[in-house]
Amino acid sequence: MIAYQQHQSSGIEWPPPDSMMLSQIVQVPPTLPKSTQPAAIFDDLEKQMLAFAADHDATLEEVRKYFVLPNDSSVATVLSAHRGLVRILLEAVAPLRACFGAEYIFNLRAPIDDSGSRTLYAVAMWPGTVRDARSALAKFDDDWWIAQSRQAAGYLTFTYELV
Amino acid sequence: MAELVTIPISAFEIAIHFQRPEFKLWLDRASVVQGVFDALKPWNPRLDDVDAVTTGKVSEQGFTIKLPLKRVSFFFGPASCKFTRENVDWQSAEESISILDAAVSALVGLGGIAIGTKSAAISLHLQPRTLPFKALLNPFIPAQLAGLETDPAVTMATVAKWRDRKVTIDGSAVLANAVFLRFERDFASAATYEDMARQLRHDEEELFRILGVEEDRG
Repeated sequence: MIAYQQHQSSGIEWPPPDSMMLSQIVQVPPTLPKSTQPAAIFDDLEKQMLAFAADHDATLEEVRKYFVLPNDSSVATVLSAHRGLVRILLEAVAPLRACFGAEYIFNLRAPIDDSGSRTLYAVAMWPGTVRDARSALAKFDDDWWIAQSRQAAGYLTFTYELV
Repeated sequence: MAELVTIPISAFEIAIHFQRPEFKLWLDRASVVQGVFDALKPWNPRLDDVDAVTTGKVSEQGFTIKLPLKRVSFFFGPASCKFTRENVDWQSAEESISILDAAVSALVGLGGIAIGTKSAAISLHLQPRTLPFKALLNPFIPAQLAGLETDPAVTMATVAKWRDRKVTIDGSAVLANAVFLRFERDFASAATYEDMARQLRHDEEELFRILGVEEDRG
């Protein structure tokens, strides 16, 4: 939330990421017969993949506006692997604020579990009592999360932490 | 005890004003662009990262060369040049100075410009781990303003300007629960980049003390 109207970014408009690696993936070995059609298809695929990556980066920036991410890349890695979670998180902002309160902080964490995989946790940092936190979480579950949880396929958990 | 904060977003920029406009940089600039491009060779500039800025006022037109891997952009026009780098920290300051010096030296040598005053700025988004960002902003709300309502203020911005210095403290527009801090300072043409870095670092430490924060490097 800002009070003073001023640009807070550097203002640099970066070009799309270097597609060198993508090009290497689709390079045709010299022993194969030449064909222009597959190359055309892959050219388009490259553009689509770059656009897809840029779109994901933009939505990730949106997530950063509402959730505090850790310093490491753990959360970004999970969100890249399970891209549907980004949309769920953004849709969860309004019900989270309605149930917990707009002034509270929501952290994202992605620890490695016993099986070696990562699960994403959206954690409400709660300065009040356990009872109030449980009540807010139960309301969030009933009002919104239970109906949406299947879309997350078990990779997202909403919880709270007392601070 | 100082609140530990992370700095997920940071940027450094420096604008160098020329003592007088050099129209060669606007009208006949091919050799200068080539020279600056060559000077930045150690950091692998690509032809496609060179952009001609042909819109806006004459002072806003010129050339931009970007180094995406270093998150650097260098612009020059007929009246000034501007170097911007994202994701900066003090560990990378020496490298930033090397890139800046290479670009500006080429510009001075080929463009025939005389360097005037320099304006430097650092922008930081400071994100506390558990403390609400408003707790960091609250001490800067004047009591008279805070007393206008019984409810606490939702957010607050502070801007202080001096003859050659400016500080902005605000909520972050791009990060959850974060404070935006920008500090700017003007330097004389004779100031070295090292002197400027030392001064800006001192300014940062001073402002962190006032805000009651310390960078979490863990």
